[in-house]
Amino acid sequence: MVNFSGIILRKFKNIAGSRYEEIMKAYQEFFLTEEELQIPEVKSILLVLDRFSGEVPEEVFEVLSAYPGARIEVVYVIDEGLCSIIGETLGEEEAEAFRKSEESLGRELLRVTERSLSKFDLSFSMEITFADKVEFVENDAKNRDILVVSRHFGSESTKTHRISPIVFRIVQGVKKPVIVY
Amino acid sequence: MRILVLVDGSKWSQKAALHAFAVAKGKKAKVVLFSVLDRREVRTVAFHASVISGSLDEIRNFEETLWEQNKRNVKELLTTLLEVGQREGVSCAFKIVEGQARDRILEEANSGRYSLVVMGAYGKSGKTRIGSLLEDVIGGIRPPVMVVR
Repeated sequence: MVNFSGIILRKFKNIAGSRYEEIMKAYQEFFLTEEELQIPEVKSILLVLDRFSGEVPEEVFEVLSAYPGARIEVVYVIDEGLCSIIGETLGEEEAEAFRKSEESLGRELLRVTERSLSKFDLSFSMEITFADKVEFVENDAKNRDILVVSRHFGSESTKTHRISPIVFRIVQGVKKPVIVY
Repeated sequence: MRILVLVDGSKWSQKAALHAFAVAKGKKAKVVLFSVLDRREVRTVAFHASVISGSLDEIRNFEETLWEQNKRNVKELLTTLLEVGQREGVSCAFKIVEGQARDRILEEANSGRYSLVVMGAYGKSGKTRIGSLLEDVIGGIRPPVMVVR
């Protein structure tokens, strides 16, 4: 059955009378309050990339260009934990080679992304970072209005799981709107 | 550009519509508010209602009454959201279909008519239900999906 918070809210206000506030508080997750009924303003966007993300499709930039004045932070994330595991198991030399190959991949993907961002005349900054992917996204997204992530961020998708488990965790955990492409 | 908003009546799907309006305003895009009516859900509620009231012979009447009321409620909600969009200067329309939510959503979203799909992170049962439909939609839809909470 459909739960129509807007309709219920209007009809309920008259019926519930003085108990309205109390009931609204107890059942807040079902009601869209008048304060929440605002067209959101987007000023800051986080676009995360990694080795699995691939190129960002043009339609994503098309959507992002709907937010005039918004600044887009593009971050290529290298798995810090994986670097440590390689260092501990295969040695520092292998870990360094992995880091360099990841950085090179990151620079290339950022170059391609930069071209598209410039084409759409979007304001942006870019960086490469070493971090735990989920932790980084969850923390950084707190200061953003929107997060943008590939379906494949964090791992390859499979026939049974078309979204990477990391993306699913991010979508569940991050409190901000997430654009998944 | 056309934006599809999946509206299931939850608070989050209404917030999704607001986000769609924000994008549409910037791009002069058209927003389509989309709802799926599933007879099986109504049948389940009708069954439980008739058991509780002890009048199983009334189950058909319960079901029909609920179904008609459900349709009216969906239309009223979509009309309300449409008016909000139009007040913001956004070109809007709504579409109501019958069937299984997952199948009808994938069919509509993958029709090639949309550049963005916007949906709420949670369903009608509140924050307790996140999962299968969300995973199916994100995994099965070709355009980018904005998930709102």
